[in-house]
Amino acid sequence: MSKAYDIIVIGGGHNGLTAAITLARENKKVLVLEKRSMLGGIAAGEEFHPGYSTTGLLHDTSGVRNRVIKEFTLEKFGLKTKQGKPTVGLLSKQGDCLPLSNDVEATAAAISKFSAKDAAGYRDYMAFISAIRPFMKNLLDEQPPDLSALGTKQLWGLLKKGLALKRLGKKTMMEFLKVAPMSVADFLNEKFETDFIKAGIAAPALYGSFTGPWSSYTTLNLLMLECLAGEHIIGGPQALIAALEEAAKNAGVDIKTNAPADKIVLDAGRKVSGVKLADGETFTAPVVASSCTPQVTFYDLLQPNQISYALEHAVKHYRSRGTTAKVSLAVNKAVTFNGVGGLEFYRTGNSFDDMERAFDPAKYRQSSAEPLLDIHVPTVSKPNLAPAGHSVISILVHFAPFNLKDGWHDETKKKLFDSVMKTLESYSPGIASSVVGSEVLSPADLESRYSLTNGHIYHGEEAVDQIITRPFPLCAQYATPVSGLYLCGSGSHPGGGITCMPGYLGAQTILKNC
Amino acid sequence: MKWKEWAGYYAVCSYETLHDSEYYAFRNSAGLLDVSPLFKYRVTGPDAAAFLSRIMVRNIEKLAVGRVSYCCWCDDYGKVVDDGTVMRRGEQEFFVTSADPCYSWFSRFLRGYRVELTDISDQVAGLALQGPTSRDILKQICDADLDALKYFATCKARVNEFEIYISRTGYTGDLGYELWVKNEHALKLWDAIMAAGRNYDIRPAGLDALDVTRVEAGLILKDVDYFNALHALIDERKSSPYEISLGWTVDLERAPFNGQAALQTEKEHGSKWAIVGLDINWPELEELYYKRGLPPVLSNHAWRSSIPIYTAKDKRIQAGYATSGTWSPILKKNIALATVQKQYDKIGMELQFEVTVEHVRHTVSATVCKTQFYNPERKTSTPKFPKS
Repeated sequence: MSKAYDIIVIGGGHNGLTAAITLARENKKVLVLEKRSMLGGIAAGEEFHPGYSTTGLLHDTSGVRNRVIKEFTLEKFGLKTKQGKPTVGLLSKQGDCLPLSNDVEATAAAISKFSAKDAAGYRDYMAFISAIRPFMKNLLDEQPPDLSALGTKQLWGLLKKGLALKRLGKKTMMEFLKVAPMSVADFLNEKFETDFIKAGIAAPALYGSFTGPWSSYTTLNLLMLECLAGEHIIGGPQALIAALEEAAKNAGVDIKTNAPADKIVLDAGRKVSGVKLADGETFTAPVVASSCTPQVTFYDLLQPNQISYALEHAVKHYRSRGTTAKVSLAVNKAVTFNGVGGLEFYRTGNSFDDMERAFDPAKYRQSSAEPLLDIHVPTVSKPNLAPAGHSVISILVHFAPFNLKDGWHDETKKKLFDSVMKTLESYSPGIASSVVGSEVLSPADLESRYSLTNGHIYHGEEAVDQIITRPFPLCAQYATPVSGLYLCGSGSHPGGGITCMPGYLGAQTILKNC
Repeated sequence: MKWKEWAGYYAVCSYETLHDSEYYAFRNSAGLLDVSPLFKYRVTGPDAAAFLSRIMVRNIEKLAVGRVSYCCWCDDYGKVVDDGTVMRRGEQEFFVTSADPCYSWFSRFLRGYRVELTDISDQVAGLALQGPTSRDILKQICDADLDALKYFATCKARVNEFEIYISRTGYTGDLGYELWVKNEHALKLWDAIMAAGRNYDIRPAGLDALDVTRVEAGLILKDVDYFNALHALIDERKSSPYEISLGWTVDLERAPFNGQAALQTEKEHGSKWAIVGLDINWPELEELYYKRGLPPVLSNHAWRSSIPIYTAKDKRIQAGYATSGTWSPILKKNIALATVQKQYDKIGMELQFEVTVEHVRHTVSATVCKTQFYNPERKTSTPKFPKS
């Protein structure tokens, strides 16, 4: 028995659900197909050891746009947010922990203990971020400009972006144009002198990229993340999914879990007509929105002869070299790093040279000997994720290349785990003896569990040529050359991370076209 | 003996000063031509037919084992990349010939298909044995049932100690065969055919004679009558199959293939160009020369230069251009293949063909006709299966 829908959304992660809600709120009949037994994808909480859970593969929820929260009235569905980014402890090898908080003055004061110059540099840096924020929001929170056909409409869109840039004022505009293509190391070296502070501020720019701190354009990545961070979600990604699920049901979205899509079905006219599941069940709809990666969408969900050579070529050359692994630890005590406890987030980095050294092996298909750690202790705000008094440490490990020379298997995963534990031990002595359970997810595991091509956490690198015209010019406006097929995942503008924006803007395009 | 470059090889234009005797061998006895410079590919595997169907404008899945298909292949926009033959040697084995190197193009579509694509251009030699006595000659040296081998059929055969593949195909528009043999046996095959053909007036033949026959047969030539879309410098030089008289090879109603959407649109909305045959008025041409006190002058070779074609009504309006032509010795006609705007492609239409006599441009009338100027019954007939 097949039921007809207006739109089928493939993938029940934050972007899939956002797209579904956006569409259903405009009275479309929407079905969400999720291959796993639970919704959420990389934002789903996972029990990795009996009694111990994480709040999602990714940690950072500060990119979720207020616009989506407000429009969907997610507070009504239980979502609680807190203004600004959560405080992160920047760790140094010398035993320091600098709390980088949402309060610029408090942070500057904390920095001044290390360097007065850096305290001034931080104020200067944050002032620059505030100044360029309107332009970055204009660039990343709206439909991407259509560069493929420069008609009056498209030129008008570009002009508006140009005006937003000009409105920054000459000084800020020139500064932005100067620094955006720079390496994050060069950029921060101009403002700061303390190594671990520079490295800690820079670190997020490298997550999910195939770059080290000395790679060009990494400043642009940093600026995007800084500018778009608004409020963060209490309870982590998992809490966002719970609210989205309620909002979806409230909007009348049909959700089917354990429903892995096998193929997008096209009719004789090569137009989308539905989705066939792995078990053969078929759902019909004239429109399919895929929140899967571009490779899964075009290579796995379509037959090879259903895409043009131009598309085949574009997908083939879309870069998504996964370099992130996940280590989750169940710990039988409250944890501290460099003597500081009670924070939910910590970051290592230490120095640009250490970060570059962590990235280098990835180029040669090897893992970092001393990886860069993005540490989340979700039990700080949500103690019930572990037994009383115990902690969960959820770590995104950079860099662990998807195409590891020796392949990903128990032995190489053990090696990765050991390098993580060794690094962790230097910040939290004795932690190894407190670990009662653990899980290591290699990029290969991320690919099989979450359908992330090459295990790339952002559905593709956020390189300068893969933003704005994301994933590639042929599909940069969410519509694809396959009639009726749209993209609405992290492989589309404005990119990866937990933001809900690709889903939201993709759905807007569908509403405009259908 | 004259030579020219063909796909990196030296190929014979004519074995004698003039190619006339070789031409007459093709038409009256048999000519043997080395076609080894053609590019050759082997495609094998469970998805071989599906893979080729995705690339070719014809549905290769429908091609029966032992049959050959002449077809072309297009880019995303329905513009022809190249043309050639596809032979189905087995359920999962195909042999493809092309004029241009196409490995790079074909290999772009391998993803998702269980196939192996091999460039066997330099492992396999090709000999074209063409002409009315070709069947009788070939019978002398191999064990194939040639009386049963239909037009555009292929089979394996044994010649002495080695094997060859025979396909009843050719580029002369006559009864003929193309023989495919491993390099190491090529010379032995040549010698065997020449020895067997002695009593049948066989001659080695070159490309000049072939060129005359192919124009008579209305067979188009890449880089002369059309251009590979991947090499065209400007879009105007690209052609769809419909525009180069290969519309009949396009099978639209099937699983998606390269260029399908564009070809469907073109079929619905019409094409811009068409290739037609032109029968150029001889008395008018003779008259032009006569007026200048000259006998009519014709090239003794087939020509391949672009000649403007005008409308009959107004010689200032260009209807198209001829791309190749020849004096047809067997038809006693001055013929050409021309690309004309679609509205001028109706059989019997009068057009004007430009000629230059004593440095002055003139036109003579030319009648639009089928591209197949010469089409003998023996080309397609099969002794064992006479037409009822």
